[in-house]
Amino acid sequence: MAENMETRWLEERRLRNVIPQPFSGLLNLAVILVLSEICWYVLFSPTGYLRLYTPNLGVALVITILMVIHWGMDCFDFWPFSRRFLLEANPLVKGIILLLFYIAVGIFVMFVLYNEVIGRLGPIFFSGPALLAGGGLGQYAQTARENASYAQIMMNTCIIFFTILWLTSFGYAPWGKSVKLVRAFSVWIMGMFLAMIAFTLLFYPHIAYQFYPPQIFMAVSPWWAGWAMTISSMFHFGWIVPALVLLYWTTMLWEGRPFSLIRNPFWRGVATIVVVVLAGVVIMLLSNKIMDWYFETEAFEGGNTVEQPAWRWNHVAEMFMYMAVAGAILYHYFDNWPRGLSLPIRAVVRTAIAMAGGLVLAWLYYALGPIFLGTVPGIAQEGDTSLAWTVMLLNLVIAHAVFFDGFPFRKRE
Amino acid sequence: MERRSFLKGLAVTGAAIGATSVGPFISKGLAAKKVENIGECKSVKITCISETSWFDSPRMLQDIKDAGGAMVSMYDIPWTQSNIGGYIALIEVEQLDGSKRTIQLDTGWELGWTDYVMEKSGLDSLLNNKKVDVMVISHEHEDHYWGLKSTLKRYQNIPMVIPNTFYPEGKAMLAGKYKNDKAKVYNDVPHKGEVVEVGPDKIYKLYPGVAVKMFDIPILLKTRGEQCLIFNIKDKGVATVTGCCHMGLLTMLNWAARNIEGYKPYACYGGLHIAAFENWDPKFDDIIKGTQKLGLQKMACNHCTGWIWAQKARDMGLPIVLGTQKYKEYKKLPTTGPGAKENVYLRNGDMMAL
Repeated sequence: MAENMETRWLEERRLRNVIPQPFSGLLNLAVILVLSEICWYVLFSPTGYLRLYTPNLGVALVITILMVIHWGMDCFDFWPFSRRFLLEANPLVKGIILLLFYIAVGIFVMFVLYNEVIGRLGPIFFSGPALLAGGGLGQYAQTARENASYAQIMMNTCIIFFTILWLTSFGYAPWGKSVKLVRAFSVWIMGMFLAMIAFTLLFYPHIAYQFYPPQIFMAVSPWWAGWAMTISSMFHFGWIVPALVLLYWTTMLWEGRPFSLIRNPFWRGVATIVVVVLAGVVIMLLSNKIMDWYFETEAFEGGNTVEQPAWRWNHVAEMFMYMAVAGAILYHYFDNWPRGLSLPIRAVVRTAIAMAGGLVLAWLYYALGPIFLGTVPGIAQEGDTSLAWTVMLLNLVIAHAVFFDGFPFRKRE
Repeated sequence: MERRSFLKGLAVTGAAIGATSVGPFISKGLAAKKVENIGECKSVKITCISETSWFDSPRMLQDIKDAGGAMVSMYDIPWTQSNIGGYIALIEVEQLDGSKRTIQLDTGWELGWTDYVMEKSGLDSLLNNKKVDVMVISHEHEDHYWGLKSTLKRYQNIPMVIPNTFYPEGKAMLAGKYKNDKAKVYNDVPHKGEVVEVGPDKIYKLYPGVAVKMFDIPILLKTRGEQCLIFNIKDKGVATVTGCCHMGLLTMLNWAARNIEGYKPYACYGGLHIAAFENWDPKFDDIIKGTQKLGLQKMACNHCTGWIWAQKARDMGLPIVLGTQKYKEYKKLPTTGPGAKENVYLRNGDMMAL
């Protein structure tokens, strides 16, 4: 596909377990769960220090950092850090520097770019402080911040999805022959370009209708209402997140299959896009049916809690993010077990493990969350979402496994 | 209908085969319900003692934001005392035999305001003379429960019905052993009457035609569980009275339709927790559209409903009951709601007969 591609750092890096599996993986998992508890308490917990789990502000922060990590890891191959630094630096020093760098970029994107530049000079709904400063009915401290965070969450999710979709579908094409920085910036810009189109079509009508009175000259009335039983754009979030998780799994758990079987790069790309998007929609609808059965009630227009369609669509995203975390743990900490079987069988086994692991994580979140995370017992709380915790955990797993080389239970060969 | 078309469209592409595969399980799950007969009453009269739990929405939201947002416990927020009021409704039920029952729903928040509205409405003398039959606490939220002392100092033995999901702080308050200097809440008058704790699995039948239904749901500001009053009024239908209705109007009525024998939609009163702080969300439009299909004849809302929702709902043809100007006789007026074209709330001092 690309003719000017030197080996990426993560492909060149070779790690070995300090102690044999599964103990290495289990210890790594224990470390990351302890770290997540500390991070949660300091940053997010309603009884902690910064209390960023407002909830949308916290969700926006972790999704922004995930987006920036994807940019660095997948688009830029860790530019501006040199290959020598990445290969030779002490894992602790390297990890801290990389983590702080990407967090700093994330904070810049969220608090400077969105809040102070984009929101102040253009679409105001991206900035809580700008909404608050503009005043007007309902634009009060908490609401303005949460509304702006919602817009950022949706925009950033689109950016992550389309960046990963392009890379999984087309790789660096059509810029494969260009130098590293040119192709990196090209994919980075392409991801944002497609995300802006998607945001405009899928989320912008929601934004226009989240004010009173509705901004009828700014956007059409949400066109999906008849299918979605809600005019909330959570409907689109509900298929984009599972589709993104399928992209993660394609790369990690399925080793590029089934799309890598298509030899022509163009048709491989098209097939990836069509199948992933359609599968995302089917997963969302199937998941809603499963929830009908599980909760013994159907969602309906105007319903609340587990009967609220918008909550249902968001819950699909929540459940698939649990599974994404479980898949990442399997991939990064347990050497993508199993490895000895034929590819189709090991892909099926890994997927089953990721799904079962996701269900276990979900159970843990709802059963132990009130004790360890300070959440309210129960499910479907207004405005609440488990994505703050799951995306934070995903960020920590990636940071630990990639930036810190899995220290201390893994070492470079 | 349109949703079905969408599913059908997907089926054409062969992609939605899985979506229908769990169908048999759904009907199995929904089939196991048993409807309850709660009897009938003759009439119901509801008086709004106070619906103003806070007077200024921006101030209220600033308190919540400064404390860390909507997931923080209400017991951990230093509330601006000059901004808070409380929620109380008084319900008089006439039974089919002509006897009457008096129910107090909730007990306000700031003690000064709570005492004031009790005295202004005459509720204080009803309590002093033990003429209130029962006090139902809708949920543990500060504006519905923290004014407990105002009720107990007048009627310490008042029978109470509470959700079975109170936190230790709420229980300590009931025992008269709670003081919190941060949130500025306390009660040193222990409750000495009967307390019934209602869980989500069984409907609690209070009197013929009067029942309490509890929904075990997580709620903002670290609260859990809310219950509503359900009245089955002869020849009219079912009316609900809520504190905040965090369970959702349509979810509550959907439950009633599936579980109350002879359910016929009639009326609702109280907070509906929709656009509580003049905020809007597209989901609120869904509630208007869903409510249009219900066939309610009277909707009296206030408190956390959000006047913009009530106004929009009325504009779209829902039977929103208009309030009077009585609330202007009270010593403190809310800053919210002046933008409404009409008085779409049943406000302090207003009454609705069903």
